[in-house]
Amino acid sequence: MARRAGIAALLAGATALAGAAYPETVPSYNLYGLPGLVDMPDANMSPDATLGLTYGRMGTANRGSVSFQIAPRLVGTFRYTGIGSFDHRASVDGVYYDRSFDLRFQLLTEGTWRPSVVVGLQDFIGTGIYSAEYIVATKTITPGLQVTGGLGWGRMASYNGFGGFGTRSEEILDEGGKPTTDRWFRGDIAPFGGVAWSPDDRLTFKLEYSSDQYDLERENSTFEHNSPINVGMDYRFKGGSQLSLYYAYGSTIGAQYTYTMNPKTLGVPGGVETAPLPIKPRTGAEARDLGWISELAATEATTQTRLARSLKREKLELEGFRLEPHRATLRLRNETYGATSQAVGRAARSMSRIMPGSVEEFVIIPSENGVPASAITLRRSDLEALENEAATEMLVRTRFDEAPADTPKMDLEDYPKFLWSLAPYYGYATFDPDGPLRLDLGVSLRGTIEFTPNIVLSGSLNKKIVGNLDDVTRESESKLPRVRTDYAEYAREADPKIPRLTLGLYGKPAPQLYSRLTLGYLEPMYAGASAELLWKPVDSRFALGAEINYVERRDFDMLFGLQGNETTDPVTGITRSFPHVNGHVSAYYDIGNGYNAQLDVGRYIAGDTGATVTLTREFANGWRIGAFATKTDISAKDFGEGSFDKGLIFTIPVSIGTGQPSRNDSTLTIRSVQRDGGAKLAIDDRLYERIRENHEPDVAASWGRFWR
Amino acid sequence: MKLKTTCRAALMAGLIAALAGCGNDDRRDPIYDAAYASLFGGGDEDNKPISDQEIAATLAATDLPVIRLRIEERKSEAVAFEIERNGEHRTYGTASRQAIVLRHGMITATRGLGGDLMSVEEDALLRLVRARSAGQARFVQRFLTPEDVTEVLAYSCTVTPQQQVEVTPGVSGMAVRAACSSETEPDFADVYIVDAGGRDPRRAAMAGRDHRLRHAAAAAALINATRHA
Repeated sequence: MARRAGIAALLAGATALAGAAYPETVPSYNLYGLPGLVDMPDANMSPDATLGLTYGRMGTANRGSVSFQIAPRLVGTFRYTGIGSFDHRASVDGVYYDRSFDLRFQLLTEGTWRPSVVVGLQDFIGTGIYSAEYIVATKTITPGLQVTGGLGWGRMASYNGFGGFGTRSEEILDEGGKPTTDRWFRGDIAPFGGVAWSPDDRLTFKLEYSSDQYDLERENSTFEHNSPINVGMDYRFKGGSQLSLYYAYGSTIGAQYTYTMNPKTLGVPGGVETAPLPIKPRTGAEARDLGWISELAATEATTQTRLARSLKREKLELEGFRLEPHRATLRLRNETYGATSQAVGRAARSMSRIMPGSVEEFVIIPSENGVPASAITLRRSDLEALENEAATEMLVRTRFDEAPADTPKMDLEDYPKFLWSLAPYYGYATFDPDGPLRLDLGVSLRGTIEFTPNIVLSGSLNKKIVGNLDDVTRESESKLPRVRTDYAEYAREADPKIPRLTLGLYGKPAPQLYSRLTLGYLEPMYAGASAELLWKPVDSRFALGAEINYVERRDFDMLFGLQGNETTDPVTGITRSFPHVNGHVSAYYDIGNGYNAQLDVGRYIAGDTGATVTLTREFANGWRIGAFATKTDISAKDFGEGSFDKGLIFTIPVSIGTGQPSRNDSTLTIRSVQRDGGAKLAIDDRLYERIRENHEPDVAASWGRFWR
Repeated sequence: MKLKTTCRAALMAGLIAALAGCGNDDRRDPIYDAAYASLFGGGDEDNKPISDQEIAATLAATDLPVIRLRIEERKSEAVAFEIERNGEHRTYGTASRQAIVLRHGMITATRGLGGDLMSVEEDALLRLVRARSAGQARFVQRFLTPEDVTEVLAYSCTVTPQQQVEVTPGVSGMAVRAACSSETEPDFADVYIVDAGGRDPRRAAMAGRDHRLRHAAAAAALINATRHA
């Protein structure tokens, strides 16, 4: 009994490690959600991959932001602002809402004598209310004392500026969303600067001279600019978050909370799952013993049964098996481990304990939705010799191939399989001026029938318990068929709802080619059929795909009815129709170091044609942070606010929160505005992400988990 | 309205608790189970050490070599049995599938403890310790980071033979201290007990059926062998 308690405590201790961060220094963040003083930037960079969330208020302005350290020298920010008492035609109840993007690049890193130098573009793709550019330098004079000086353009040259190059428009653009290149580094230039002093790890005091006179706020709102001097104080909590207090512009106080996390350091290192089985080494005599071959078929059957049982204990599934005198081939289904390398490592350990001694070669074929995705070949003597060596030793001796034509057939003893679960769910909507964040919470009954691993019927039924998604009342005109902007109708009328109910069929029509056919209620707003073909060689960083869909709009109650592909605009009363067929050709490229690019070209739901570019940074543990932009043949005016579709994607693996292995993740897509142009179907079982997890570049990236 | 919302929120919280374990789908999000465990379980665990009587009972029940794991920082203990041998490496596993790998008493890997030591380069250090010789040796530890990237920590270790100590009545060995330092990591020191005949420390400590390993050095080293973020 005591032993059990002790072991549980070991685990509890390990779990307590989750969420701890490495003590790498995260600099102070300013009111724009980026490293800086009070309102002005400095030239500090956060550690690579830092994700910074800030919420601050100064005067009548609320600013919330998400910053991501895209690379060691490059940081990007998305900001959502609400300025109260702001007299502008786009204001809602006196509040002017604005979304803006920043990019900042470090030109020089700090040296013994040299300061860090950074160039930044602020609000470079929005309506331009915060539009500014700057070059700033920061030098650490003594530990804890930093001096910053810079030159600003645009908004950051509104106080005591001097003549620069050309003229600059100060108009707030109605639609926004386009790079304001005609403004960059134009017009007046003004100096700014300041000092930051940290007497200890917790406190930082800041003094700055701001070159922003808040002209727009003074003209349209109640802001008073009495002084260019701002002072501030940061308090850093033990977990790394920061609370900042400011007195700014001689007239107003401000406060800000900053929370930072890092996909590289968040979570339990290596996880808390149980230990794998040890490798069982053979003696020389065992390795030479071929006596069992006379009863090959019988041995194959008993070995398969024992292996299936052993894999089940590892939460893996034997999908097929073949035994030969010197080789064993395992068709392996992994629905547990986020890293394929770990699933393969555990399967290999099981095989080392069960296979007859003469079997020297293990061929493990990861099967994805019942489709053989690759063949990973390991020598048993390598496993025996390298169990206690660096994982890379095993990687260089591992072979990755296409799954062979003679892959063992599926053994369908346990099929059809019925799986169900009852779990909480959440739904959200962002950036509605009447309620910037709306949330629904409820229960979701999910069911799956696997007729075979590659023929799967699955669906869910959601019932809301609490939430305010259905409070959305704003109606905005669209110049396009309302393929997405009727989301409020769905939110109001759909409860209970069936977000998805699909039959999926997966196949491998030819070597390197993978297929998917999905039929049914494909996503919350559309039903129909979706067919996809993916070409992805096992060792390639490049892949090509094509998807074609035939869809019809679902009823607003999100149950079984359809309503045809005609929509009526609630503002103008105009009825428009959109085609049943849409689809894309996609190119995928794994650039290396975790950076990935995707280009989709085709016809979108509303019938517009164009392309989507998606850039993501991915981490071996499953985190993915990216941005996408879609430009179609719809003009910026017809598209409406935002000019074109764009947004950010955050994928967070479930294992981060639990320390337990999981292939599940949660993806959050934040669009600055949801309009009807550039809209794609939200199908959740597209092939590329799942197939490539079994291919060499991805498996090698997380190979450290092979022996875990 | 407010009251209604509050009631619904309470109902939601209750449902989350009630639903955490519902279903037969192993692939469902374990996060709900984890949330359930953190809300309603885990608080009643005690961390009391394993008593000598329990150790004696365990030893009486098996012929397998046994070690006692203790992680001071977490105030937790467990008993592990030898479950496999691979060359000079011995894998010990606990009943709840945590494992520790020893080579002549030196920890070369852990699994299932969280922050596991994945592997080491120990040849040079082990040679000095086993020979009870003074000297310098390079020692490398490998861990996985939360990003799942292998992190290699390199140490320089100074090995110093110390005094003779009695492990258990009738079984003694020489304490050999290995003090390791690194440019990037905190220093640590392990003490190994190497038997008088120059045999490996594990065998020295395990001599005699009733005095099988109470491996103080292993337990001490284990604290350094698991990486704390």
